[in-house]
Amino acid sequence: MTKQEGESMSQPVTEPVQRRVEILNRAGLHARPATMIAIKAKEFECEIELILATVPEDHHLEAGTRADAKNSIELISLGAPCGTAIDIEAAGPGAEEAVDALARMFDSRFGLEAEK
Amino acid sequence: MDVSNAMHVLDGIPVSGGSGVGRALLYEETHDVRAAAALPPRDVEEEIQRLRRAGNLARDDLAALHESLAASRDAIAQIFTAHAAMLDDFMPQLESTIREGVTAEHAVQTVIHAAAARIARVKDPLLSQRAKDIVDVGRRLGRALRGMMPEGPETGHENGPVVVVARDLTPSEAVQLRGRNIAAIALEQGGHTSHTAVIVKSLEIPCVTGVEGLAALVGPGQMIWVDGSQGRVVVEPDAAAMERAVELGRRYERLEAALLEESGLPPETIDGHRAVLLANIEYPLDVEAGLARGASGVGLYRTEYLYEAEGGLPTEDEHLAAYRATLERLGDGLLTIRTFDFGADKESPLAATAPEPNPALGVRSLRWCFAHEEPFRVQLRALLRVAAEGNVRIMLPMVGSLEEVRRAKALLAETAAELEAAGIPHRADVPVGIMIEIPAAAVTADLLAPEVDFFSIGSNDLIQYDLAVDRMNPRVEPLFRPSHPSVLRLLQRTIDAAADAGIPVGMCGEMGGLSIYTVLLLGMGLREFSLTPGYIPRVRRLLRTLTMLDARRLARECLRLSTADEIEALLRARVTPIGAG
Repeated sequence: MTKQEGESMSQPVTEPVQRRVEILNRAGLHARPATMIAIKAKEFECEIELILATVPEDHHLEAGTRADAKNSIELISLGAPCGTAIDIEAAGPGAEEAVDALARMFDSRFGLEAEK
Repeated sequence: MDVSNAMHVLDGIPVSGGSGVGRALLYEETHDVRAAAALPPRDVEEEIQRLRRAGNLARDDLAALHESLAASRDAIAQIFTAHAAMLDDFMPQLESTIREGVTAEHAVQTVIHAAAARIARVKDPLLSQRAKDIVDVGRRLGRALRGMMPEGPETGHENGPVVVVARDLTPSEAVQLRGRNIAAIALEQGGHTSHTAVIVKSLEIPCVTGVEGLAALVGPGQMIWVDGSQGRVVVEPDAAAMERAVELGRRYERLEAALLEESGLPPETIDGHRAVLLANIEYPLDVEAGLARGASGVGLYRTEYLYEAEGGLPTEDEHLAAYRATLERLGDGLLTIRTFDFGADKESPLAATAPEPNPALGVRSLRWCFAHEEPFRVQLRALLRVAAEGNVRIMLPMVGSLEEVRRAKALLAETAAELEAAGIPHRADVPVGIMIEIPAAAVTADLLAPEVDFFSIGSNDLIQYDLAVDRMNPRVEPLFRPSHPSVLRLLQRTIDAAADAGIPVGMCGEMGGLSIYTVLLLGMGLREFSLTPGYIPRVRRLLRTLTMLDARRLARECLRLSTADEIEALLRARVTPIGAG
């Protein structure tokens, strides 16, 4: 699940911004949170990817698998349950803000559950 | 598949009354011959256009669903936004799959259903269960491709009203049939559809379930007549049957219209005994259906839907928002909120736990709440808070012993103390009642009554547990007899115990809405009937034709008889149901 090909990156090469978060909401990265992330990610010009930093036992994907944060289906297909660690990686204009915004969504459990 | 033009009559379980005729809308891909077909290269662009049109149809449909629910501030509305976003994100992959030379249907199968299957295999049960969202998107797109999308609130199939034919419908699929041009529903399965049945009934769509062999017999667009009152499905009705179907349908509509006009009349007997008519509701929206029929409040507000809406258990704020939305619509009316009553159906958190050999006798309902105290406390907090804002009472389902009553009340008291300490407005002395649906509770009703504020009899489960009959199993369904002397004795015991303790007793099960039993229950001393809104007008008219004297006499005679057959025969001889003949 790598990102789609054919996108030429013409802007100056900058170091990607990366931050590790954990999936805290009980039902994991299912349709609702995944679409919330994708909708938010599309507000940013930069490339954003979510990377499985850890995977549960017997998972169908390996650690390190990447998904385009702007595509809800790729996100859902990560099959990431509660407790999974995720690296948010962004490169390009507004990368810092994008990572902040997405990390906040993870931390707030996507507003789906009360925070402890 | 035998799609002939001969008339076929199939019997099933009558789930929702009325008569409906229309063309068959096959809800599932039971007859999808295109799915496997390869596509000649020259047709590829056309097929992509077809996919895009179907996508637009599905997107409009989701937007309409969202709008109709968002207006009521229903949390469930948000799921349709998610589905629309998923649909958009699936499109590029679907198009590139079609370019490989397959039909749109095949692309949906390989892309969307395969994605769902991958998620369904994830070990974490809470996540794998959510694969159904992806399945929903795939099924919606599949329906749109077959031109079978109910296209909006006013329109339907281009050939007029449709009869939905499916193996089974999930409760969330049933909800989406609200306000569509759907004449009736016929389902092949009966199992696990009890929650669906409740919703279909509240939508007042005639429905028959447990129709064996239905899916194999019916082809798309075939004429179907569903008699939801008799539990009969007629495929390709002949001229005489069509005439009868249309006649029945008209008579039913005329009666409904006449009954609705009486909604302002008091529900009282000729000799002036007043009953209380309440509504059973599922969603905040349903309050209107009850009020329009003159219900003075809600006798049963089910809260399980808050779970399926959220892809997890609801937060305190989500509970509170839903309860407030309901209360707002209701004004001063009574609102009876039932705590989580999760059963063993697939749209419940129980499905996420280890399967039990006998779910009806397992960790369901209040037992689940005790096993999962945290989500139960969250609900109790919201209930205590909303109780400070209106005429609210709390109802505990599936109580089997006094210990359970005490344990629930202790949790409620602890929760109230927490709110007090936090300075959050609430009502600590909110009335707490219990459902009488386990025979043990009925038998010991005299012990339970002094410690609760009201009883509400759940007749469906009470009969199921008393007679050991699963009503959704067509093979034993005939043994489900509300008129069984044992059932009558349990009811009488419960009603008497409530009277002795001076607490109100009602019934929120279906039995109370069936004419012969309405009269019997009234005669036995029941005064509060909580009904699916559609039943309220009939019960009101019936009550207004009776005297309490006659009802009491009839009840006494029934209680002296020895068999369900005798009791039912006597009731049928004495009571003329509203709308009969």
